[in-house]
Amino acid sequence: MARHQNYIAGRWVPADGGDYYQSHNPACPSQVVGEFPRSGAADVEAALASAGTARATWNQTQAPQRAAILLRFSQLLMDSRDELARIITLEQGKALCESVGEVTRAAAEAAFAAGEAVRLSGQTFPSERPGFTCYTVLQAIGVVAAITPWNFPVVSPVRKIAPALACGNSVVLKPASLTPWSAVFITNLLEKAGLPPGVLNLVIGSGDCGEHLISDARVRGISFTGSTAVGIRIAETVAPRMAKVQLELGGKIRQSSWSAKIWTVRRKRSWQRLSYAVANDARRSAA
Amino acid sequence: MIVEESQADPLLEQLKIHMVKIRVGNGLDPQTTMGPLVSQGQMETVAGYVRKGLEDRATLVVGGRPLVEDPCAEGYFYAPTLFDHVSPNSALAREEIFGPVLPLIRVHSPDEAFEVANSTRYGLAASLFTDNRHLAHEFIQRMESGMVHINHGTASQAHVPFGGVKDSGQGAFSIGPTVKDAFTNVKTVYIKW
Repeated sequence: MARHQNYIAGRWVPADGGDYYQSHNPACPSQVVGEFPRSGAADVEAALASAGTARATWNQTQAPQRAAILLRFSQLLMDSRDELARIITLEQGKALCESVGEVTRAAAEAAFAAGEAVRLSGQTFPSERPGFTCYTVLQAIGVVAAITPWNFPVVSPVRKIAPALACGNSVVLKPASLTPWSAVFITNLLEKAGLPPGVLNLVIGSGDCGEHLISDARVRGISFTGSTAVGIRIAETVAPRMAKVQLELGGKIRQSSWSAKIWTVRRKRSWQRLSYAVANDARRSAA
Repeated sequence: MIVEESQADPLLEQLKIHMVKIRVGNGLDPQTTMGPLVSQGQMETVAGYVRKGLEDRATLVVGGRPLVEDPCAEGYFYAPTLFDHVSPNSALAREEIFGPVLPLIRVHSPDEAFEVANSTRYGLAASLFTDNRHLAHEFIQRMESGMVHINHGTASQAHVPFGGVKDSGQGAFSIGPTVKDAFTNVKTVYIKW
């Protein structure tokens, strides 16, 4: 059984307090899948300091270079798809075919984000006064905190990290404490892809780490997926300092069927498709 | 799942067929199509919603229990669960269960269906299955939802905006080009030489 670490300023380091917790396989809870740091305020502080130092250099890195690193990351995700899918299933439980699909999707989103790095274009405007040039540019916001859930332990972090990095921000990632192994693996791949030290920092621990992150004035953007209650608290916490929030919160997916009988006559498999879709959504998430 | 009364019974039969086909087990087994819940806490949450459904007099059709038989003897396995005659005002209909529990709500008109569909505090995704194009466009307009689907379950693509409204979020700002709104600031420049 492996003991994993935080990733701060380009180094794999233990939590400041030296504490670890065990993560278990939900299909077989007696099986420990790994030991992970129980981080605290000092670890969050180190990660924020690292992200704060790295942000200027990363922001000045030319956008095509940022894109190239993210494209390599996308390719590494595909190269290690089977290994990472197995990790997802071991720590989160979902069927292996779904885990494979999740990694494939994460690679596609990373590739799209890479392209966005070179599409950070502003607009030009005609001036009402002669001799003026008027235009807008898009600028990185600074340090971004990514706080991610357990239902999609790979695609959710990638969905936040990749576009944040593409836009020139540095990131502190705090994954769900139930599914930290996937986050360790992703971070390793970004390191292999050539991401400079400090641009991405990984802090593993309980919700307290997230609280420290959202409360810190150096964090200029927070991307969070999870419960509505926590999302509201994040928005309230950061409002006085005008930090940006990107919130993917709770859901109740609604499926309605109407006049499908006629449709059935025309397309024989319609009931099957409808019932499969409904059963599938109920099986997965946010239903 | 919201369905017109006259179509509910045939849909229920199809749903039963599909839910019984779901192979629950260890996710590493290639035969498995649904793994366990993520934790003991989540098991208790899902079981709690099933209890509430029974208390609210919904009809349990399939499942409704933890799975303890081999190969699910150990682990947080819960049976795919289907309820019929669910009240639109009940917890099953309105709250996020985050488990394999499908509530079926019977309605009598499209207006009632749309009203029920909009009656949750969430607004992530909604689907309509129909051959009626007029109704489909009305559904697209009226749904208080970040994402709407016609004749398809919840979909998501790697370059298309994703996200919800109401208590589900601030709109479709995840995935796709809209992420730039979240991760950049717009700076306006005026130059006069």
